[in-house]
Amino acid sequence: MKASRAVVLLVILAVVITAGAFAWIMRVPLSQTVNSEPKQPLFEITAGRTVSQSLRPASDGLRGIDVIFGTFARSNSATLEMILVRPDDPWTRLVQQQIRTAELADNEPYHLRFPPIDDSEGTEFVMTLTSANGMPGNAVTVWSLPFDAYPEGSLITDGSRQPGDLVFNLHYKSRALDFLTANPSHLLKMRSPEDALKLVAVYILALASIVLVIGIMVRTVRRDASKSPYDFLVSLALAAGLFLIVGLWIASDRF
Amino acid sequence: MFTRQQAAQEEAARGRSATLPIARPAAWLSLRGKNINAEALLAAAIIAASFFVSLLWAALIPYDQAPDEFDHFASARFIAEHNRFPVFDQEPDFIHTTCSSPTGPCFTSYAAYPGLNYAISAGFMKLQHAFTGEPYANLYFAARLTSVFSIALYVFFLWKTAQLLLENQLARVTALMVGAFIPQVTFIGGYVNADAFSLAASAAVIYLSVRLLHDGFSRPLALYSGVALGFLALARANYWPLFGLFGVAWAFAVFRAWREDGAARRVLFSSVATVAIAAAIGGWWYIRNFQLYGDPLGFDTLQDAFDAAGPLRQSPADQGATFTSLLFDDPVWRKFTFRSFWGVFGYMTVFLNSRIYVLIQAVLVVAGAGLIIAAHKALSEHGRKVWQWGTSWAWLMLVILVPTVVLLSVWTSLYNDFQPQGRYLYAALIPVILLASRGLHSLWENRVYQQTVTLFVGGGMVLLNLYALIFVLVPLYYK
Repeated sequence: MKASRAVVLLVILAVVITAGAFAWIMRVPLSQTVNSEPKQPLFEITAGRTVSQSLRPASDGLRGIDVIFGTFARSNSATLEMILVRPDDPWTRLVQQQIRTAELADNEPYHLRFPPIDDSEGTEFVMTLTSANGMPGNAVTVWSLPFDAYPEGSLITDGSRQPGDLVFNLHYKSRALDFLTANPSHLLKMRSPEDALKLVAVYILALASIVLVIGIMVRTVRRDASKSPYDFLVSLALAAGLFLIVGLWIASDRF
Repeated sequence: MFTRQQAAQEEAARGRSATLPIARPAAWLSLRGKNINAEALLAAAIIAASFFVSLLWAALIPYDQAPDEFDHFASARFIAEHNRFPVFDQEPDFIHTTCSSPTGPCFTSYAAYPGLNYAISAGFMKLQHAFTGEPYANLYFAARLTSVFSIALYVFFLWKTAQLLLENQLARVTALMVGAFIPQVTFIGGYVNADAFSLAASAAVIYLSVRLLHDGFSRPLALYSGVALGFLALARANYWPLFGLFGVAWAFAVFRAWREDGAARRVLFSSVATVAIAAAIGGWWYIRNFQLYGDPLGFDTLQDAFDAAGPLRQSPADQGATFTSLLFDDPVWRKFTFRSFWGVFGYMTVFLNSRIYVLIQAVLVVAGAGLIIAAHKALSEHGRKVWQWGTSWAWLMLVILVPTVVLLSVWTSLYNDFQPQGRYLYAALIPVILLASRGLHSLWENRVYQQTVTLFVGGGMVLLNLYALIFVLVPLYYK
């Protein structure tokens, strides 16, 4: 096979693979964050105490919850249990997980991952944290917000509804390409028509200038390779291949 | 590369060039157009793109969803409403540290820190207020424009510095693309703060320092330096190590000028002029602070206020932390500082995918290997002769600047406030970018490798910037 044909095939292959990678990367999961300032730690989750947060997910495919635990800057050995139920069917545990507090980092989010719940949008759930063997001095806490940052749900401690909410993130199963089209439309809905138009204008200017930058960058690189025209195509294919590998690696992270 | 000298030679050769702009503007424009090379066009496009992208982020980030934006905006708003700077803890309608204030929340304000950036923001607010009549309390987007413009300025000076230090055109392109589109840089360009202004001032000082080391001393440079140093004096204190960089560059240039043509008197006069200009632009703030608080820098004023608000508060050093424990034993400081150097948003709670940080680390390790190879090659080829060149000194100074800035940030976290944030290392942002680009492009001279690095690293940073906007910030605030 001639070298030129090989390079053309290589480029076509790179373009196809890159397009596939791009589609894959766009499957980055949706998430919903409840976090603000000031936040504060709750009490030690010892035996007999419960911390619950009611949730009403904004999308289908709920598949993970991040909670920020506080270890009181010490090493604990108690075990936590997290369960997720529907309030209308509290005996069916949709999710049940044991968490070893020794593995928790102080004041850092901990990701509770579970199989996606397909029909989660708008459905009420209650996540509860308990510890059968937690004792004062050997237990962790969770961070919360003292005000209602999440009107769709409430913080419940020891069975009593509190004014605030836990600090948490909800993760949803990715929705592939419709994610990209959904966001701008959500964004524009939250603006007045006049503001939305201005925003669209800034969006177009920013994206157009980025396209221009990429175009000139590629042209600069191509001119640099003018002595050997195949150099540029090989470089382009290599860069595309690297983007593919890196994109797949990043997208496969458990977020 | 089309240099200033080449341009001057061409104009001299043309003879009548001085009359062209007036007599035949079209011909002059056409001539200038031909002289604009692809790289200048790329730099212009990148500067424009960094401006528009920052503007977009400024339009999208909701108010006070960034570190202390409330405090920063309060300063700009006060200036816009009162046509003067606020006095720390003494204004009835401004932030007070303790709750003895009749109105307003109880935080420590930035009133004792330099306020030029807030004054510029107040100017934009006044402009919008004049046109729309909207109350100042709503004009946070106008206040953010200072940050947006500052990012474009920083990118301009990054390009100018890269032109002096990186001979390889692709290395310059990589540096420019990376520096302009780091998501954290765009983020600080998108909310009201003092960091963006400080970054722009520091970029100008770095460029002038490198010019001094590269080209030697000149009178116009003395003038520009005075202006840039004046603005740096009004920047945040974590950028002040750059005074040291400039001082060394100045001493180097003065020594060279004195040795080569014995121009000691001219150099001395220009040095005095530089200091005078810098003092005129930046000194007034410190005189004001001294008059108001007896504390030119304002540090003690803030410290006293912190102590009054929380008498039992302890710094990490009080709790037994040391430089080595913070840098090597405690992964939190290292991890958060590194991550927020490249991209952590909101109140430092919104992260990128963790593997992106690992990827950046890997690229920096490769760049480090390239730098070692480049240094070894230069020293083995030229030996001690390398120290006769200003650019070698410039590189050395940039290398030294990186640990200096890190140690300053560690010191602040130890003895003042535990703040592991990458933006506190941004005095070393340009050195990090230039060193990384130089390292990556020094690893292998193969042309395909050089082009791939530019496409992958430079293009990758643009994609990362878009990813941060479209997949992190927009879903966070607008879903």
